[in-house]
Amino acid sequence: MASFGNFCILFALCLSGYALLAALIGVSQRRQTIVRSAEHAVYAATGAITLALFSLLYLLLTDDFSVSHVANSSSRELPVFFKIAAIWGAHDGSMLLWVFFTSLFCALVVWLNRFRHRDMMPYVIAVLMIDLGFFLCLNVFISNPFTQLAQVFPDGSYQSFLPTDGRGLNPLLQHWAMVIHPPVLYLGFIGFLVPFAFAIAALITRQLGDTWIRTTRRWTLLTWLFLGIGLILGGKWAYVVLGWGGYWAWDPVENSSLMPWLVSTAFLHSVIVQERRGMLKIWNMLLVIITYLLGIFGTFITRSGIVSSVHAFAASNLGQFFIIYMSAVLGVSLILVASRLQYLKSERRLDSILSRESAFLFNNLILVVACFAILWGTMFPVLSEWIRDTQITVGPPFFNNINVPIGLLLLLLTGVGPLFAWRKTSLESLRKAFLLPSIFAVATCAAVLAAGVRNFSFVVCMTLCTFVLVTIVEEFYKGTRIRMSSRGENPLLAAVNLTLKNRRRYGGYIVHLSIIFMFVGFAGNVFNQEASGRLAKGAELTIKDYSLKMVDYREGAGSNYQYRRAVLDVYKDGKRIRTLEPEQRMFTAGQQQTTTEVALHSTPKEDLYLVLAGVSRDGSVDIKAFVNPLVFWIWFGAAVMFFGALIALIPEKGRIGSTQPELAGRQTAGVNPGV
Amino acid sequence: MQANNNLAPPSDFNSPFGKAALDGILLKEPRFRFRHKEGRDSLMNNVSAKAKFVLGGVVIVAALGWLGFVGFEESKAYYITVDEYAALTEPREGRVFKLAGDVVAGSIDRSKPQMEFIIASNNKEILVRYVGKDIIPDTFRDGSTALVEGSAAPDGTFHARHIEAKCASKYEAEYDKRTTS
Repeated sequence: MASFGNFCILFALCLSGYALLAALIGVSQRRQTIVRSAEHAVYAATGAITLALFSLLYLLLTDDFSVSHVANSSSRELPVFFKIAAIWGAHDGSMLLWVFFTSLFCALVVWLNRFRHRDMMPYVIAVLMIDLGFFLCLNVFISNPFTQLAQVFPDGSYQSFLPTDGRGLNPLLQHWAMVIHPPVLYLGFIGFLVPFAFAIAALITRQLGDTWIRTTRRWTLLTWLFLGIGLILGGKWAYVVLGWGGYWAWDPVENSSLMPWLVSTAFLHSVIVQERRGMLKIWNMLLVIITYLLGIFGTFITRSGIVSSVHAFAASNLGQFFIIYMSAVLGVSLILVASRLQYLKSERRLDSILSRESAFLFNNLILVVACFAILWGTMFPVLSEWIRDTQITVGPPFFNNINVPIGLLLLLLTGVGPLFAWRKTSLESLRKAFLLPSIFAVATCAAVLAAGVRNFSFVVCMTLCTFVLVTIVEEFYKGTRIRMSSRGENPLLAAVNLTLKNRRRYGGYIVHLSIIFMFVGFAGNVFNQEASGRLAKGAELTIKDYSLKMVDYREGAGSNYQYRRAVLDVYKDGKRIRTLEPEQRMFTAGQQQTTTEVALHSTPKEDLYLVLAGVSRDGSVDIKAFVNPLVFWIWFGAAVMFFGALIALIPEKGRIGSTQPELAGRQTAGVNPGV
Repeated sequence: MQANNNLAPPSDFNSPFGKAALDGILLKEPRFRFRHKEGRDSLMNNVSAKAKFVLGGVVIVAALGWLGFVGFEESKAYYITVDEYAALTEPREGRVFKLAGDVVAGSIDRSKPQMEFIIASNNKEILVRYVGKDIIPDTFRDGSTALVEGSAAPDGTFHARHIEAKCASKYEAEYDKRTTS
């Protein structure tokens, strides 16, 4: 089965090479049939990779430990669910999953556009196949998941080797959020390939109007959503599994998935400016290219071991290939953009600083600065080693100092942006639009101050959240009112119809709403409290208004681990509310690692978060307790974000992008100096 | 200026989400109305709008840069291995280090109020006292690769405020691999 899988990926590599050549030959010879054969090769490659994935799954389910990936990431007693997850439990297999997703996207793009964009598609296919081919090469030659173990004797001969059991899946990964987190994140990284491929094809064919943006708008949004959900799942996992009381630590790997998300958020907004006003064309091109590269860069950070991280895979020798690939992509893309500048001229200029365009511009500026700062902080150890020969690391204070103000500025723009008109806003209309949100915001500010809160960021955050919330509610209210009076619908129906008729706009507002919830959750951070103590049976630990009484200590065994568990009664204001059981697990297979099972009492107001830090010989337990206010709202916000993005994603009837190829230069007729 | 006074309140027809959003509510504004007046006046405005944006951008970026610099100075740490630390000739006081090394088996002493252990690399060792408050990670144990962040104490030990640890990957080193094909 291992040889079969190996054959499949090798065959897929050949097919992707063929598809690349056929697409290019087809377009240069203007022969549709050759392009068609390239498309068929894309389907075939996807089929082959799917078979390879299934053979790896088969190897894992049948406990074939002669295969190194299986031996490294699975074991006999691992539950079936986690055996499936073991596909992406170690580096080699996760690369296969990556390639599998890439090929699925490629096939989907080819199929969806089989009757459309015929002049662009060959180039799209070529770009897709270069990406797929690159990762397949890595999969076949560098990190092959079908590699088998062998024992080498001193005289150089070797024989195959079959361990009796595998190392087992890394216990930290044996958690539901961690099982879905990598695939979702991969979808989020890989999906940006599609807008990138269309952008490059548009550059080559000089069709630099709205076609490529219209075609890829939904892809971008979907990918952005996957990446966002992947980030949140990662945070959730860190929160409940790593047991240090938080969900985000500015770790290089976390940063590397946040960066493309920030740039793609910028892109989602600046695209609107291009659609509406024909501005920012070069900028959008650059954003797409950067987003795609940051996706690759994230993989590079995670897998090359260039910066140390708790999340990273063991260092592998992939680094140089990534650097070559990324440089080549960047170089070729920039040359292409430079050679097409005349087609990327802005159709209009910025009329006023008080305009929607200007708000979008600031939004873009800030998001890109945030991304750059994070990139700088993440790569600083590497940079400083190049320049001064010592690695200097930077910690959370650097990232927080920059990103907290950036977050607040963005929040402000989220509220203010929609109040501005396109082109120019009169002060009169601004005064009208700002009145109600400002009143509520000032009231909130006063209320928070009256409640005794003196933390600057928190007060500003709550004030801005209120401001944005009121602007969004106002938007819905106004639209609903108009529908009610013009169509006689009842309020609920009017609101629903309003949203469904303008999905992109109101879906977007719902996403903005989710951002408010998340910011409330983030702001809770400033009131985190912690306490710790060694508790014998019957002893108590107090934190905030909770009191924890240790009632029992137990040991036992789960399916593939042994556990130590403290049982604590939780009292709040003297009243018993529930029992929490923080736990430590010792996994028996392979590395015999210990993991922490956090016990959580979560309410919208705050989380009580308990960790069993250790057990002493006399049976008393070390408990670390945290009270983290408002964390609930982060996960709630994520759910709302998912919902809002889904609404924006559903196609609106009759609004599918034009199927006609645009004529090069038509959009740019007025400004094309060559004509 | 006059020409813009007849613009309706923004939310009535200006959608951040494209023209699709116009349906269902209010106005069917002819789109060309946005394109009027491209004369000399607006050209002057253009320059100043752009200049204002650039000015605003510069102020924002400068402020963030300053905040970043402050945060950087506060949190920078020299990331070196234990033997490099031992070989340092410059004064160690006043600098924050992040030392990488392996935890010497059997050296972890949890009996004292503050945990002590020895980390080593290339036959150089240093005694580390953990003075931080965070939970010691599960991966921290005999033989694991640890990163300790902190500073030199006057008594020659190293006071760590933060510990990261990774399991040593022994298993992979035990077998050589070869591909099947």
